[in-house]
Amino acid sequence: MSTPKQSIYIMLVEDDEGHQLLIRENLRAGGIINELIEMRDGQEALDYLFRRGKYQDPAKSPRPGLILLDIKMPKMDGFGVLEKIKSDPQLRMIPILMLTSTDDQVEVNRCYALGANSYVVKPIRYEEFQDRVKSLGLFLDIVRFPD
Amino acid sequence: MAGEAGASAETEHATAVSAVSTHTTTRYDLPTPRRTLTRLFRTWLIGITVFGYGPAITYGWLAWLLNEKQWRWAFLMYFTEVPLIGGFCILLVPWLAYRPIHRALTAWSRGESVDRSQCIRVYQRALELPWWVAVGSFIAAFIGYVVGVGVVHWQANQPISEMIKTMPAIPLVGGMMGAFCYFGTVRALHPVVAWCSVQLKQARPLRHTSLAAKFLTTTCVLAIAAVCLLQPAAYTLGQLVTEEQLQDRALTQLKAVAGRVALFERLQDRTALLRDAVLGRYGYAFILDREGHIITPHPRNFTRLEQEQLYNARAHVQGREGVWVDRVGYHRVVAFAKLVDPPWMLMSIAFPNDFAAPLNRYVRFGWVVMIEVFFVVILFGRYFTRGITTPLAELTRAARQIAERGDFSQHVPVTTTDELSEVARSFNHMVEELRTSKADLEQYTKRLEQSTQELSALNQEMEDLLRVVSHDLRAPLINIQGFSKRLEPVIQEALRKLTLVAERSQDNGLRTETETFRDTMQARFAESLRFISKGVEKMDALLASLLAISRVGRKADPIRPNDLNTILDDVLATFDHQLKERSIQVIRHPLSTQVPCRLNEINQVFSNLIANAINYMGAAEQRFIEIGGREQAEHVECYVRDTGIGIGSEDQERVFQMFTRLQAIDVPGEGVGLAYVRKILRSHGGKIWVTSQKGQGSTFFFTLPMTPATMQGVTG
Repeated sequence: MSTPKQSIYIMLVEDDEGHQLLIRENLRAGGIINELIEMRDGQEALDYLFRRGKYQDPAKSPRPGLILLDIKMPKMDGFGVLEKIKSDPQLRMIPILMLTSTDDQVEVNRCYALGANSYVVKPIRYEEFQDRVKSLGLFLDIVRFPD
Repeated sequence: MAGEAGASAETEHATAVSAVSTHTTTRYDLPTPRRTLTRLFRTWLIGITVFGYGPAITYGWLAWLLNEKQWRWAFLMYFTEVPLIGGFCILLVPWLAYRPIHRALTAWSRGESVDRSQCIRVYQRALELPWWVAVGSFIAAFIGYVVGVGVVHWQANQPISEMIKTMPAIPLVGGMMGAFCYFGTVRALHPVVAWCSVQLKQARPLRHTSLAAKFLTTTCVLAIAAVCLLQPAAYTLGQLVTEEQLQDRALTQLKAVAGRVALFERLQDRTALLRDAVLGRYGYAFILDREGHIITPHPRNFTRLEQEQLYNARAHVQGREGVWVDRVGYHRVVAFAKLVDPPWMLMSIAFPNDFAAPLNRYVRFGWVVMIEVFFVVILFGRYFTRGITTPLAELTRAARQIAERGDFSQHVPVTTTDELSEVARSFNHMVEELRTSKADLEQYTKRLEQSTQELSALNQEMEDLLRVVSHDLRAPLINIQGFSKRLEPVIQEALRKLTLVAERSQDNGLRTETETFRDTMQARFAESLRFISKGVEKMDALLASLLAISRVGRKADPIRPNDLNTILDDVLATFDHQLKERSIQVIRHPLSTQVPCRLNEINQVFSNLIANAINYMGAAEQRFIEIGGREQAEHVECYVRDTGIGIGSEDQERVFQMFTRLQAIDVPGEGVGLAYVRKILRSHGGKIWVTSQKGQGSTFFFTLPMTPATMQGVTG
């Protein structure tokens, strides 16, 4: 692993523990070694990003370089989080990848309308996910592969 | 009615109800042209016979009674009018006016379609025609009079000014015939007007004639006609009496003069004596010689000599003594007496008019009576028509109030005791009925709206449920699949380790045991994982189908005209491999090219139906799928026919239900396909059904409407 200072953090906002584990393992198996900031719901993610409550110390809560955002979550769903992030002048630069459970065109259009950069349909097959993540050219500048 | 007023309101109401309900409903059939024409001609014929020939016959008969010599003149006079009236009034003008109606009726009775503008023209014409007939009758009476009476006066060498005395014949004949023909024509054309009005629904006559004007005109015409009929009769009777008296006087005086004339020799003396025989202001007397020449100077120059010659000739025939009345033109009393020696003849001509001063006064009085009648009619008519029009105006106002503002609180007062009160009561009853039925309707509408809302809410709930369920059930599936896959490398590792243990084990028993365990484990794990994976994939497919069903008819996918052939091309391309593999032949017929639909959904319809046809093809010898369709008035009908295993009649409705699979055999699918197809077609406003026989293949028919209007009712 490289030094934490140089690394770019990836924030994963996902309420399902299983999904979180699977995504993490998938990213690792796909060779993505960035540090992950894992959030369990939308509210927590916003607290982190806006440095509220227990995330007030900027040193302990570095800005992520990419956010993987699930849509269906308790407290605040993905759309709400996306809207809040994109309305903040500083945070709006962070690329956001939406995790959707279906390729419903209405949902996808709404994501793009709110300013998401791309989306990934959560695949039922384990292997597919890695392919999806790898195939996203978006990551090339951000993700780090082992030297 | 007055007695009834005391009865309770309920009885009143009940009688009104029974009066309404016992009334038989009248259907307005198209009147046949022949029957209408017959009725019209019958009316006009009665009009002409009774009011045209009637006076002619009466006066002709009277003339014949009075003077046998002159009755033919009178007949000529009155009968000349009649052919003119007949030709002009009945055969020409109204016939020309009626012709378009007749033509239209003939065309309609042949079954030709009723053109609205033509119908309006016929309606207006049928309403106008009675006026044409009335005016035509009047003009005909006038022309008939002028020609007929003029000929007689000219024949009798009488001044035309004398015609004024007989002028009442015009309003008499024209007015009575006009009025009769007017009402007769209205009655004869009533079925035509009624039929047109029913056809046109809200037609309004071009011209509005008030009831008061109609009533007053009719009454005045009848009153004038009556006076015109009475006045000449009274005048003639008076004249008869005067003439009768004058005849006696004239003959007596002339005979007395004749006795005295014989006493004198000189002609001057005799001429002077003649003065005693002269009667009235214009009367005169003269002496005729044996040859019939007038030998005394003719005292009057306004009469022609021939006329006296005529009287002379007649006197000869009658034996040279007597008196009679000449009634052509100026009536004259002609008296003649014989002289014994010389054998001359004395003749005296007297004019009854000279003695008719009291009669003329009565005639003038007759005109006063006529004017009085006129005013009386107008005054009484005014109140009479007010009595009719006021309740009618109230009815109209109330009806308009209801029609324009929906104000059902209207109640028309019952102020008369005639038929109008019945109308008012029926109207009130109708309003009452309307009010209750409107209230009922509003209640039903409200209930319907409510249940529609409930239904659509329920439908929405159901779709939401479908969407949420299919959405949310996928999350655990991802976990099941993910984590079961995650086990795979671990199991492989464990198996590898067990093999290693078995290989290295010195103890045979332990090795065998380990190997057995390893094999069991391998079998169980592999099998379990395979089933888990298969189950998850199937579940995923099922959820995807449910999601697809919940998405049918969404606004995101707009309805546009699409070529069904292109859609079918795309679908068949995806099945190309399967069709070749199973050696299934596809027979295609051209489909409609401009069908308004959602492209993706109709694509799904075809691919589901074709997939079903392939999957349930069975083992028939001839294997083909036939796809075709036809365009109908408002929708296109398509069919997909196969030679597959078919569906029993008891299952033909069930196949469209969700999760219904008739075959337990190994056919892919979740039992959602046809339910999905049906939902798509319903959302388009179409429908689907199947005809099939077990073992004989099945044919799926579906329809799509061609007009988006019918679809909006479903999707909106």
